[in-house]
Amino acid sequence: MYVRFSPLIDSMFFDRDLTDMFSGFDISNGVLRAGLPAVDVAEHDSKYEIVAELPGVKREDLKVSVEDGTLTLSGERKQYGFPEGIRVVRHETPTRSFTRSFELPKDVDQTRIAAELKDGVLRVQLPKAEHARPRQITVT
Amino acid sequence: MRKNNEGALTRRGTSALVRHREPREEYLTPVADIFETSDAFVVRLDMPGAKKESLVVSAEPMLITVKGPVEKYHTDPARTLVSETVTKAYYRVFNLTRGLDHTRIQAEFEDGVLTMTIPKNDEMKLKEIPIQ
Repeated sequence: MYVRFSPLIDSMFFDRDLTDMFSGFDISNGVLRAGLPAVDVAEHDSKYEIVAELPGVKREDLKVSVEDGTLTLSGERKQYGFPEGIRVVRHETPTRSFTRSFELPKDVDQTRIAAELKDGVLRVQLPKAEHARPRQITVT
Repeated sequence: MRKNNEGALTRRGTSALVRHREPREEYLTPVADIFETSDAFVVRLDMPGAKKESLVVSAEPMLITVKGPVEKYHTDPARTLVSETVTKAYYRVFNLTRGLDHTRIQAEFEDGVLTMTIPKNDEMKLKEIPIQ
């Protein structure tokens, strides 16, 4: 991360977060500060769902893999570097590659995992195996 | 950390700025990259989860305001196991000084990244001065 300032440019963009450039966003969350994508995991009756925020990551630069009961997300935002010959005024976005791993619960059907990337958000659907889903038992 | 910003706003205290004091706790400030080319400034904002249809970019002579609501990622989960995201609306304001043309700003949204290109006026572009 690097930022260069000159008096001329500082006056050009006066953002109100200027005084707190790197802590100026409202995420008091060590994960994001470390440049790792923020993740949610929710459990539903029939599935688990992982949601990861990956702005600027293209599908071809993202890898979702399952091995030995561990799901791994890894990637890099390659396309969003700075073009040649420009002057960087501010650089707040994370650029390093990232890896996050999740140990899958035993009831996940690993053959039916599906992932979709849209608007900078990755959703991984982890269906539960049939036998693990809650069932309604009809009382006769 | 907001106190400093209040000071900055007060120092520049015009009515236009005061008007934009919204309840900021409701918003998440998206991180930005800004770079300068020979004829424009480019601002890129990370806004994962925002939708192109609901993004609002408004430009005034001295001010660009970006707003984008975010829908909750999970509807009615049985259990939340990890919760790191902050699904609030995005909101960020950039003040512009003279030399930038707020009437010709271009904005596009792709992969959760909003890119705004703010062209320079002719007066601000680098001019080569011929040596006589």
